[in-house]
Order: sequence, then structure tokens, then C-alpha cells
Amino acid sequence: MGESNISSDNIRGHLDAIILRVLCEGDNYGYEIMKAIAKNSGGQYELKEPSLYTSLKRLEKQKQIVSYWGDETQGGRRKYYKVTSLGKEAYEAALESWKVAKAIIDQLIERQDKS
Amino acid sequence: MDSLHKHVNQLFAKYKGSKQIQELKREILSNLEAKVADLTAGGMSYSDAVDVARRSITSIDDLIDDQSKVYVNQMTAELVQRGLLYVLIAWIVTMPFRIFGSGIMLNGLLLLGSIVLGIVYVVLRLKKQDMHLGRTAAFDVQAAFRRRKLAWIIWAVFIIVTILYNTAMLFGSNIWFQTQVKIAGPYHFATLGTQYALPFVSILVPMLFHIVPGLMMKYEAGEDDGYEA
Repeated sequence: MGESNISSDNIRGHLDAIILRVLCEGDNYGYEIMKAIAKNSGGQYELKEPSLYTSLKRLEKQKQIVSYWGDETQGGRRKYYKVTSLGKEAYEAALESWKVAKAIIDQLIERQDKS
Repeated sequence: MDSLHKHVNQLFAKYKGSKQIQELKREILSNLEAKVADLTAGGMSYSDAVDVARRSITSIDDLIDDQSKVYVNQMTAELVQRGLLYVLIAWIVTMPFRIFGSGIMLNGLLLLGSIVLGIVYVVLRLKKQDMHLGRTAAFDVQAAFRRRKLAWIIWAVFIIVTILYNTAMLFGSNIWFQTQVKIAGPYHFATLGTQYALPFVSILVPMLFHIVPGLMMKYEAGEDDGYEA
């Protein structure tokens, strides 16, 4: 349990980008976004509902995503999210900054065996 | 899907009114329904799936904005209107108590209050400009809920204390010396009743606190209304 908590902490700061990635692949609704993230992580990470709604709300406020109600004929109607051009830019920026950070953090944390 | 419905209704029990909150409620319910459908398709029993879904979200308080943009002048007008209504009712209800000194004073004060609130209300309703109606301010709805609870607690304590105080002042010696309570007649009885009844007029105060969170949500400004905070 401890290990998975540590990784959740590391992931939390990137939730917006993780959700944007899913939406860049196509419009989607809450539960399917959670499933897609679980699948993308190979079942190692599970997004919790409260974090999902918090992130979606923030992204919508920042106009990186927009929402619309689906037209399911049976069962409850679902609220779909669609990434905007602003959201795509934000995603690309987050990806770039993550790549840079990853390289630096690797250098900083990983033991350098000098021979 | 009944027990899911109930669960979501419970989550949202405090929150009514605003369109955004209604949408969030529908969204959460539909996602939980999708979760249950998915879990049962994966072989889980229906009741277990509902359990899992219910445990996955147990509070929505964090999802409600701490600070809500509210059309403050429209909200104030309705609050004054409700206050006016309550004070008028209290004024009418306390009319019979005019036969006693404290009753006359309270009844007079309520009449004065009605007149003042009435004037304020008319002034507020006369201002019809968009600038005035569209003005927003940020309010903390959660804090309003806390203040509402506090107002009721303080009022309950006040009522208990006045009842105890009246009883001690009126019947303290009867209780102490274990003598019979003597009520001289209907007039005396009415005097006693008035002393106990008048403090209840103060229920006006918590009643007004009670409606504030609802009004905040009713006059909440949507994200896309174009008014900047």
C-alpha cells in the first residue's frame, strides 16, 4: 500500500496532463476516462473519482476542455468532455516540461557510478 | 439503480438550486451507473458493484467551489424581502401581546423594523440597471452553511437559557420551598405565558441565516455569464 501511495503522490501533479492525453485521443465521459487511465498505466494506477471531478472542473474553468451532454437513448445521459485547442497546447507544453523534468530528476536522483 | 440514486441524493442533500450543481449531480450519477454496469459485466454481483460504486465517492464538499460568484444585489434584495416577510408575520403574531409592557415594546419594534425593511426593499427593487443587477461578489457557501448551523445552536442555547431564567424567576421559590404554584387568574396566566413566549420571536434571526446558503446558490453566476469577478 505504501508504495502505491508514493506513486500516487508523484502522479497527482500531472493529473491534468494525464486526462488531457486521454481526451486528445477522443471525446470521453468520466468513467471511461478513469478506465482509460487505468488501462494506460497497465493497471498500476487507478484514478479516484474525487480527483477526476476536481481535475475536470479545473480544466473546464481554464477552457482547456469543454463539456456536452451525450444523447444516449437508454440509461442516464453522460457528460462528455472535448479537448479545446487551448487544451491541446497545454498538453504539448506539459509533455515538453515533463520530458525536461524527467531528464533532470533522473540525473539528480539516480546514483552515478563513476568508474 | 435505486440505491445509487439514493446515495447521490444524500451526497447532494445540502446543495440545491444552482444549475451547475444539478449538472454535477447528474454527471456523478451517470458515471457511477456506468461503473456498476461495467463491474457487473465483469462478473461482480450487482449489490457488490453498487457497494464499490458508493464507496468510490463519499463526499462532494470538495467539489463545490469555496468561493462562488453570486449576483450580490439580486441576492440582497431577496434576503431583504424574506426578512420583511418574517418581521411582518412576527409583528402580526405579537399583536395580542400588546396588553403587556414588554409586548408593546416588542410589537412596536417589529412594526418599526417592517417599515425600515420595506423602504430598503422598495429602494433595492427600483434599481433596475444591468450594472446594478449584474454586480457579482465572491461568497463562501460552505462558510454560510457553517454560520447557519452556528446560528441555530446559539439560538437553541438562548431559548434554553431564557426558559430556565424565567422558570427560576417566576417559580424558583415555589420549587425551593416546595409550595404550590398559584396562578391568580387568566390575566396572570397570560402574563406568564407571554414571558415564556416572547423570546421565541428571536427565531427570526436563525431563520434568516438558514436561507442564506440557498440564496447564494440560487443567485450563483454561471461560468460563462461574462461578468468578471
